[in-house]
Formats: sequence, C-alpha cells, structure tokens
Amino acid sequence: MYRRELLKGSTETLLLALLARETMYGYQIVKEMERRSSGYFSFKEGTLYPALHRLEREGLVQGEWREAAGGQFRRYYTITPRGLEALNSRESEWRRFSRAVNLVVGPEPTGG
Amino acid sequence: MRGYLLDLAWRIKLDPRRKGEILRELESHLEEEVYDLQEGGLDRSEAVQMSLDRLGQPRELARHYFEVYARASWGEVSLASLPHLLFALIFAFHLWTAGIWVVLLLVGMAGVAILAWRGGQPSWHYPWLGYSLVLPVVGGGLAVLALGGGGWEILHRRPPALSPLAYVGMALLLPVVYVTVKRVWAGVIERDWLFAPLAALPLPFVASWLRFAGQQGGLAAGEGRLAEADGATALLFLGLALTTAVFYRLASRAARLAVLTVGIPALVLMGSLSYQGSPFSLWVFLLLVLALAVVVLPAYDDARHNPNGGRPAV
Repeated sequence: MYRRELLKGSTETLLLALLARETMYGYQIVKEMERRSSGYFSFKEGTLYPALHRLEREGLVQGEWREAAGGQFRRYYTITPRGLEALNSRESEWRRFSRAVNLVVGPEPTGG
Repeated sequence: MRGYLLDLAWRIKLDPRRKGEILRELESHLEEEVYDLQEGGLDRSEAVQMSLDRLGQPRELARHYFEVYARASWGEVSLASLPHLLFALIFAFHLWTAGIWVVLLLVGMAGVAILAWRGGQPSWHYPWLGYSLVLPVVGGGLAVLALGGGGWEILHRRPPALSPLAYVGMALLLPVVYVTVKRVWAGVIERDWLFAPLAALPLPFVASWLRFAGQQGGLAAGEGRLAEADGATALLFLGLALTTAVFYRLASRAARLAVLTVGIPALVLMGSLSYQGSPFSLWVFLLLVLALAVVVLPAYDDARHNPNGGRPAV
C-alpha cells in the first residue's frame, strides 16, 4: 500500500527518466521498468498509458506511430527538451527529498 | 479482448480521433503482451485475462483518460462560452428589436457549428450547435402550435388564421426538422451524452422569453415591456456562459453532471422570477421537468448502447 502511494507520486519522473535514455513504446517501457528496478516496479498498464498521454499533453514527451517488424504499429514516445528540463528539476528535488528523509529516518549523527 | 475494447470504446468520451489512437495503442499493447505470456507458457485465455487485469477496469481506465484530455484550455472555454455572451450582448444592447441581428447571429452560429462538426467535432463547438438548433426547434414548435390551432379552427367550423399553403408548408417542414434535429442529437450523444444537455442549454430560456413576449402582446406590440426585462435576460445568458465555462474546466464527468443538474434548474427559476415574477406556476414546473429531462434522457439513450448493458457512462 505504502509502495503504491510512493509510486503514484513518482510515476511521471520514472517515465521521463526512462525516455531520457531512449525512445520507447508503452509495452517496452513496462518491461524496461521491471528490468531496471529488478522487479520492484511493476506498472499497471492502466496507469502507465494515461500517464504517458498526460506527459505528451504537457509537452514533456512526444508520441509518434511507427511501423514495427511484423507490420504492427506502435506508438513510440520521445522526451522533449522541455521534458529534459522537467526531469532535471524533478531529479534535483528527489535527491533533496530522499536525503532529508534519510537524515530524519536514519540514526542520529554522533558529535565529535 | 474484443469485448473489453468494445466496452472501453463506449466509455471513452473523447473526440473520435483521440479515441481511435487510444484504442489502437492499447490493442497493440495487449496483442504483444498476450503473445509474450503465451510464449512464457500460459494458454491464450489465461494470457488474455492476465493482460486485461493489468490494464484494469474499463471504467477506471476511461476515467483516467478523460481526466487527461477533458479539461478545456481557457481558449476553448472562451470559444464555448462565446455564443451565450453574444446573446447576452444582444439583450444588453436591445439589439433583438432589429430581428435581423438575431437571425444573422443564429445563421452565423449554425455555420460555425457545421464547419466545426465537419472539422472533427472539437468539444467547444457544442454550445454553438445548440444555438444553431434554436431556429429549427422553435420553428418546429411554432409550426406544431399553428397546425394545432388551424385544426382547432377547422373543427369548430371557423376560418383558419393562415392560408392553406402555409399549413401545407408547415406540415412538410415538420418531418424535415424532426429528422434533422434527431440525427444531430444522436450524433452528439454518440460523442458524449453530457454534451447533449450542454448543447440544449439555451432552449428552455429561449422558450421562456418567447412565451413572455407572447404574454406582452407579441414582439412588436410588447417591445417596450420586453425591453424592460432585457437586463435580466442578459444576466440569464451570462449565467449560461458561466455554467458552460465551469463545465469545460472540470475534468470529472460526475462534476460536470452536477453542474448541469444544479445550474439548469437554478437558471430556469431565475428566468421565471424575471418573466413571471414568481417561480410557482405550471409553466415553470413544465420547464423544470423539461430541463431535467434534457439532462437525464441522453444518459439513458447512451446506456442503450452500452455493450454490456446497464448504466450510462459517468
């Protein structure tokens, strides 16, 4: 439950981070997320696709249809320059946040 | 899988192009995931079920997509509210007294609505569509009254008020009006039933004003008394503009329905206070029933097309 709440606030950042590395389509993003997180993140696709569409509507990613081998069409997503800026900003914020959490949750630093 | 996608297609109340892209993307995803799961050892029905479970309930998925796309930009809100604002100006500056302005405005709105309809049905065009139906609906209503009146005169062996040719013309016009309005209405409901009451917003108020005009002795005879109510009428149209703006800025279907369910009766009551001086009359009651019917009936019409039967998509 707690993990789900944490993921809710991080979904878009995670998507932007993946797309900053390479252009991907939806199913590929799901598999890559699982692989890179060693199975920790298992996206519900019902959350993933609306999140991708939201990012596209905000101009942070751009989608385009491409024909794959085998003749099927897939919608590939590429991060935009605005998306990269947003990612950098969110990554900085995440680093500050996680550092602060670790300071509070971790053991009291000893003096001397 | 086909049943899931059909259900989802019915629930996604977005413009046809956007809906088509969403369904295409999800279908492509499902096919690839099902293939991989089968390669991993599951049989097809298990693979399909697992994929659909991961996608989630069509209702929830449609709601998420709606929240992404439904909220209109301020530009779209302005376009959607513009017809109401133009009519507010017509009454604020007493321009209705030169009837040609009203007719030109309604014809212009119909032109915009037709172009927008053919250009992909942008969501902002539904209020324009509603005004473009005012002339045929009001004309059809007056034709029904005139034909009824003429029939009554004939039954009582009195000369009818209009020429036979006029009655024939009206009788021929009525089915054309009926079929046109019905087709447009069905098209709106197919797109999203919530746009149907939004499009029909001006109709109860136009009907109220025309009745008020009739009570004052007609448009020409009662011009002075009618003009005294122009300020209140302009405010009513401003109320319609505000209701429309709030509707378009909401990203939740339930909230949009609430705005219409509360806003329309409230404005009808405001109108009754302006024209009748009291909300307690049979006419106001009938208008309220009509207003609520305009909200509720499209929902049930939409529910009839639910591939799984049941309630309308909210």
